[in-house]
Amino acid sequence: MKNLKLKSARAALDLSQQQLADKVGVSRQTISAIEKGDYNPTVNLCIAICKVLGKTLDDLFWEG
Amino acid sequence: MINIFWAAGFVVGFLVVIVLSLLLGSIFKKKKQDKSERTQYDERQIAARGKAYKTALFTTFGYFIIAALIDVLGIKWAEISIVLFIGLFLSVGVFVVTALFSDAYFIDSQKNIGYPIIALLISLINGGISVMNIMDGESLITNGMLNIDSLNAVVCVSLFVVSVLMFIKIIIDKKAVENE
Repeated sequence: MKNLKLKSARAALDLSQQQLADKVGVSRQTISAIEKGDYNPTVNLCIAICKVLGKTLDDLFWEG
Repeated sequence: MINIFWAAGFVVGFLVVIVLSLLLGSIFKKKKQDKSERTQYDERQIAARGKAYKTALFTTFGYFIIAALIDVLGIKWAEISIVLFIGLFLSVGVFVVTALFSDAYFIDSQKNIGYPIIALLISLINGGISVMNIMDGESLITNGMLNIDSLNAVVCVSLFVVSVLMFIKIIIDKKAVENE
């Protein structure tokens, strides 16, 4: 399932996939795979993404 | 009848290529480490690499099972050395392509355009050698079986397929960035 919350949170900060990837310390393809729902990140990576985007785990990764 | 000097030359040449590849690889790795440019792979890439190894392993199993069954049925289509080399090229090729399409190693394929060009060049060189052998009157088939002279043609086809897939991956990556 696509992670549109992550995509919109990234877009809200006007960050490209590459910029977010650089800040988190992963490849652009990894961010792309998470947004497309092709890859389930570990909790460590989720936390790193949340810190960069100023969001909580619930905001980005909890499907309520 | 195999010429012993030709066979010795083949084995020595093959070993020299392996030793040179390992040597150049270690020099290249050391150079990168010295410049503190050692690539750090992320968690998805490490997982993708494991998947690529697994895919290559099972492809090898499948190939050798099929090759063995064909042999048991009495169908001789290639000399044993060619059967083994094709298995080797197939497993390496599957690993390279799987790793390539899951971005297990290269983060930015646009910057690595040299690899498909090198693969294409080696493919063309092997194709040229194969054509020259045929023009010299050497046949790639003996008694209905692919012989050792067909190895250049096998390398040519394998590397050509890999290089074309590498170019396709570069185009896919370029479009992915544009459509982001």
